[in-house]
Amino acid sequence: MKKAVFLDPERCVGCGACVVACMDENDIYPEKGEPPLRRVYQIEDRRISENGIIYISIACNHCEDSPCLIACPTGAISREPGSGRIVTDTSLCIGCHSCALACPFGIPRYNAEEKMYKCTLCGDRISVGLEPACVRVCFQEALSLESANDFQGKKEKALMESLIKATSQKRIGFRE
Amino acid sequence: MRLEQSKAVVIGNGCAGAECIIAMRDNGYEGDITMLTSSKWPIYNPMLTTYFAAGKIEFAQLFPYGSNEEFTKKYRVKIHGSSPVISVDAEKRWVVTDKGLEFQYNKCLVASGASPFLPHIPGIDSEKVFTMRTVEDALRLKSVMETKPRQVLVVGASMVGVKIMELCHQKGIEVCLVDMAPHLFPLAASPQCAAVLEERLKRQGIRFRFNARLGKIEETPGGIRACFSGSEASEEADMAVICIGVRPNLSFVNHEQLVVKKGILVNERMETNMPGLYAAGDVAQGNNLLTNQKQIIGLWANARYQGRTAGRNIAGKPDKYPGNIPHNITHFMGMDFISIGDVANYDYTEVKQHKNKYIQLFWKDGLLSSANLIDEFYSSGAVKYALIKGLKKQEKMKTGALPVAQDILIRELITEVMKG
Repeated sequence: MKKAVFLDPERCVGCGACVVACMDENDIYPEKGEPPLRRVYQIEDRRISENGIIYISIACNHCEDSPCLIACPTGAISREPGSGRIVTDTSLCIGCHSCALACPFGIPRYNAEEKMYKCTLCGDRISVGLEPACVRVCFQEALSLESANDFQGKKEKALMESLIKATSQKRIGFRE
Repeated sequence: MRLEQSKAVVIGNGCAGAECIIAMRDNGYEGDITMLTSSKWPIYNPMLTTYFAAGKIEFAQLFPYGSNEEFTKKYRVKIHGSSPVISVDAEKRWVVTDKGLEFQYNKCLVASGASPFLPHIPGIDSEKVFTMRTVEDALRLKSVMETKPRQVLVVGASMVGVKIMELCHQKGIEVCLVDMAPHLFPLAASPQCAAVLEERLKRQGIRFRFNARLGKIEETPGGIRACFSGSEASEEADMAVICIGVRPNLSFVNHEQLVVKKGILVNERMETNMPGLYAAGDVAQGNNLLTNQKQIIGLWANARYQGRTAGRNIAGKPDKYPGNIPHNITHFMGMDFISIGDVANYDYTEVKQHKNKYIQLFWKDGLLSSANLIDEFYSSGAVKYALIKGLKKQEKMKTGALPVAQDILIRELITEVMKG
């Protein structure tokens, strides 16, 4: 079953370990102007969480119906059969930046030769049963590699637990 | 006359037709499929023609779906090349080609694409006048580039025109860019944004002539002279490339049967008003999410989505394509120009500039309605989706406030850009 890296924003503390692990694994040199494949954003807003701050660790989501793949004029972007990873054939990339405008998450970056590059879901690692580098290093366990169904199941379980907790607390309140 | 039975007929061999066929096979369509096209080439992408003429890609790369043989084998489709359709009778479900081939269909997709528009002016048929759309156009332009012209007149200051300008400039050719509009990217850019782009291009040696409507073209011993309507002025060059837009290829359509405005009107399933007949790509007038009007949005991605949607529905898997908004990214002369939505229709606009980056956002009725970005492609996709998301929420909204997510995103984007 197709798996992807999921983020639990409630666990992410924005430490950036995933970014470093990703740069190490993929030999990214920021000092040469190469942007990392995974990035962490800090978003401050009172309307989004209790303390008004959340961290989002993001890389290519390897979308189910990838807009970048559709927008690519040359067929350089494709879905790998089996793993479902979205992969780039740089020999076909013409550096037109169409994928940048197609991606809702601002993922595509371009190297000095104007070829698009992005997260490959650590293809070499997952093909031998290892986790992607970012997931492996995340001590908060905010990042996880799983199927969409498993992730959804976990989210629903957590929601049910918090609902039960909230209603039981309310009952206690009534008794007092 | 020869009658052939084909349950499904696809007219046109662009990406809309290709995606339709792929979607049909992916969704279990087992009947035979025939593709009819005026082109003798495999399925190609018109956008790549300028890249080929510039020598940036090989000839084979013009064809993202591979050769006709590969496509035929993989998707079990019979392709009739160099066979333009001359009529479609949607009542009798009957298609006729110029070679006298006739097809009775059960389902048919019209995806015949568009052709460059040429004004009816004296001299337009000169051999020194070029267009840019087809494989033939690309081959012709590439071969004339080998004769090393010194001056080229590019008529039409939009996406294709600037790519022609770029390829000439990179070969050391002097370029004059002409448009009847008052500025660069007249449909996609605001006057302020266009001024920024024009300034940068002038510094690279590009010459402009705006507010100039082409009146006639005269051949001179060395090339051409372009004269402009209502003006004494003229421009001389070795050749002219005319890229002032395209028109849908609909000569074979019966307007009494089919509802056609600028293109064939389609619903979210890509159905026309005639049963069994679908349309997709540059001939189809689908939904513009921004205006809720039907509009041809001539984009590669849009054509693929529409073709795929038609294919799924033909194969019996119901699918809807809600529509799109006009958007474009043009990477040229070392910069990116991005346009999202409609910059001509807004209540309020805001411009932020930092170093080479330029961000102009436009609001209409309290919602983000369009954007012009220069050299800020990182966030362009997020802005586009925020805009579309805002539109979808619009109906549910009680106040004129911007949806929270959209608001946060735009603020983050501007902060990020200002940091450099």
